[in-house]
Amino acid sequence: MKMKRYLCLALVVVFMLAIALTGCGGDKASSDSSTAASTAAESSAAAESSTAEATATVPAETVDLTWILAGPQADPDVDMIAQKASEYLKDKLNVNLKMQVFSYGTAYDNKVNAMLSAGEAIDVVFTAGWAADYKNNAQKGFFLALDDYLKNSPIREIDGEDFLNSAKINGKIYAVNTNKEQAHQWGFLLKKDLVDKYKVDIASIKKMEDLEPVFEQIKKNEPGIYPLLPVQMDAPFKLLDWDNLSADDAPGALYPVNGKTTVVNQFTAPESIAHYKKMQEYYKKGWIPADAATLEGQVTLMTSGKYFANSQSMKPGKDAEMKISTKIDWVQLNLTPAVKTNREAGGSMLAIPAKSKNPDRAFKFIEMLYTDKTLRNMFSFGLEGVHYDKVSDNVIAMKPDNKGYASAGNGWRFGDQFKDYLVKDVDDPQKWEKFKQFNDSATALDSLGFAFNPKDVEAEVAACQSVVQNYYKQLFTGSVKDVDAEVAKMDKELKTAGVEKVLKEMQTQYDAFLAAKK
Amino acid sequence: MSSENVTVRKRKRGFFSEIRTNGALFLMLVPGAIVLLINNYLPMFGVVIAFKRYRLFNNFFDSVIRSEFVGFDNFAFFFKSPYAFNITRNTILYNLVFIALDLIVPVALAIALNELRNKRGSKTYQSLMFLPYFLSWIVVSYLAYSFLSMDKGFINTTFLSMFGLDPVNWYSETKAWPFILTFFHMWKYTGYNIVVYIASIAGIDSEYFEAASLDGASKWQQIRHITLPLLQPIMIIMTLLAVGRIFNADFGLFYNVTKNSGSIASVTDVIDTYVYKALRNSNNMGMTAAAGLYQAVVGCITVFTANMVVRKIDKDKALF
Repeated sequence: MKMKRYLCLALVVVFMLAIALTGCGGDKASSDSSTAASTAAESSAAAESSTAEATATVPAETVDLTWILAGPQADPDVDMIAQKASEYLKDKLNVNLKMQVFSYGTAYDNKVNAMLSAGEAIDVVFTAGWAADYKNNAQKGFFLALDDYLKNSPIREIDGEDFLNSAKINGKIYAVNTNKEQAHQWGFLLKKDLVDKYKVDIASIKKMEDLEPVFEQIKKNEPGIYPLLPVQMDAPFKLLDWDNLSADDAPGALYPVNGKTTVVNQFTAPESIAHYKKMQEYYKKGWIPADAATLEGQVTLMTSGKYFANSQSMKPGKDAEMKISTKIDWVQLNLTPAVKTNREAGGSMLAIPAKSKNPDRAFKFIEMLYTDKTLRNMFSFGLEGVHYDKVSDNVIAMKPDNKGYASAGNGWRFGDQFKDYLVKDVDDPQKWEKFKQFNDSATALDSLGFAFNPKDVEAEVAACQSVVQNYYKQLFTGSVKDVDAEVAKMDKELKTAGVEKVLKEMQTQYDAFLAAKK
Repeated sequence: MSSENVTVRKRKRGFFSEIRTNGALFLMLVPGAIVLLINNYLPMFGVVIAFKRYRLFNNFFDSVIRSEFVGFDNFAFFFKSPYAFNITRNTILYNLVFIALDLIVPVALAIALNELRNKRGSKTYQSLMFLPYFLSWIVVSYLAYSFLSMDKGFINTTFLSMFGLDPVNWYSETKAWPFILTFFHMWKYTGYNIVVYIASIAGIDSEYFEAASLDGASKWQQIRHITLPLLQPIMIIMTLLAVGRIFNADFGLFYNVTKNSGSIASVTDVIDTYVYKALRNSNNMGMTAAAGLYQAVVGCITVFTANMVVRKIDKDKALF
């Protein structure tokens, strides 16, 4: 009896505090299944009530259209832009556009994956191999198949049959590729003021090691500047150009040349180990920030101007594009050969979530991003007079004090990028011709179009990813004491996690893919 | 004796007569009960997901029902992990330390605060200790970073250099983290726990203390023979409640304060962070639900066991 009274007292105190404090509690949504389930239940109730609404194809009534996009930061000005776009679309599509931008990386994945599994009614969503994992989410049925819509769509011609079909999974297209560069090469962006100061001969540099004398000089003469900036996956490890068959943090890759068809574990391959040792050497010399293993947000760090070189995926005019978002002059250094892989084929795409209430209009909207120059430039650069001024018909000048729309210049995220304005004094007037040349010059890898289906090894892949997550940051940044010991430990743990089974399954599927291609 | 007679008589009365006499009280219970039902019981339906390969159909309920049944497959990823032992050990050991310290430190501080003559001072201390509770773990993680950063942190630049010691890369120093994490846990939650104990100390009849001091009992004797025994029931309850969550770790603490540094994962990875890292990219509802269910089931078993032990020792003091 006495216990009951105390229990009541304790519970009352705890509950009152809990109620008073719930608003202040900063508990991040964890993997707690019960919270996930409850939010899912709420949103499904909302979805149920709305399925009754007819999905009108004739834009007689205004509907909300939600577009989720990844960007350098959560831009404060997107509401303003979305409102202007809605006004523009009033007599064309009659939608009330709602935009949300989440920053690249974990922030985007977390939010979008949660929205998709909860079945939230979003209409257009940015997806890629590296953001809200396209293949994974398409295979799980979170995206709508777009084949019927695409039948007579102008996107067919703009993207080209091959590029469009590269998004095919089990014979169906679940997202449309942005028409942009169709190949990639890796390299460094170097800070221009320092390149000029130390008279770096860009043409003579063929590999990362050639930059060592420059790193040395910068370390010696430029206090406060770090020669090299590796951040999470955006590290020089990318220069090895592994042709990953699954997510970037899952073992299983091919060498980036045609003819080699053996699936290997890219994290323990000899080339990678040699690279880890190189990075460790750089780290010991103080060329890499001491706390590199815990840094996040590459673009934000680059904007601080404290780092000389950072690894990037290159294309013509990458330096200009990054100048617009970081306001720093860069020199572009291309190192690896340009190849067409699944990375670009799934490099930037727009999908319609299966739970969209207005898929027809969502698709028309996506289509307009390919065909309507005025509309797509609103999202590529912001608003005239606010974020930029027009210089001539196709050339604009960015306002230097624009802070509210860091996404400006990132037109590669949607539609037909070839319809973007050129930025005065930044963009090469020949930019789009060079893009075409770049696309034509690149070789296509045999693995293009292969989509690994992890259904039978899901548990092993997840276990392997958790191992890689524990090791890759310190290995990629060189901040380990003993590379060999660390790799041996990772290898042992990966084997326990079942990496061999994963690689075997990948090999079987890839061989079947190659056989079917012949 | 009299109280027991009352219960016996009550039991004999029917359910409806109970409602008739205490109608107002039952009415007051309704809103809370509904909230509990919606927030805590309705989502329990979701445990089914743990046994399914979750795919999206018309709506959430439809998805859950029509998804393919895969038995215990979703639980496999946890046990296939090379970290299964490590993360379980970390979760339990950290929680044991937290449970012990969350009992000793707040009780000691609550008694100390209660003994303070200066009531305004006592209130100020209490508020100051309560303050960290309002900070989110994200904020705390940056506070920690300002101390522990390799090249800019206070400890390395000011403290260690003062004694001529080499800077330490704290985010890869495995030995330090059990202490750092314990420190931040205590710093954040002690103030909150104190409130519970101060409330129950305030509920102790002051006549006991008056009588004791008339008989010449010292402060120490009063605490030992009056305060602590009377606090014992609430201490047991708070501990039993904590034991029920022994398999759940504080995600914010273990993920944010460590800055998700891989080099120290062997001592900082707990079940919650492991599940997050393994499944963040794969958007797998089934496996996340499986992990949650596993934690809940083990937590349930531990709390029943702990309660059984308490009941063996003193039947009156058990929770149920």
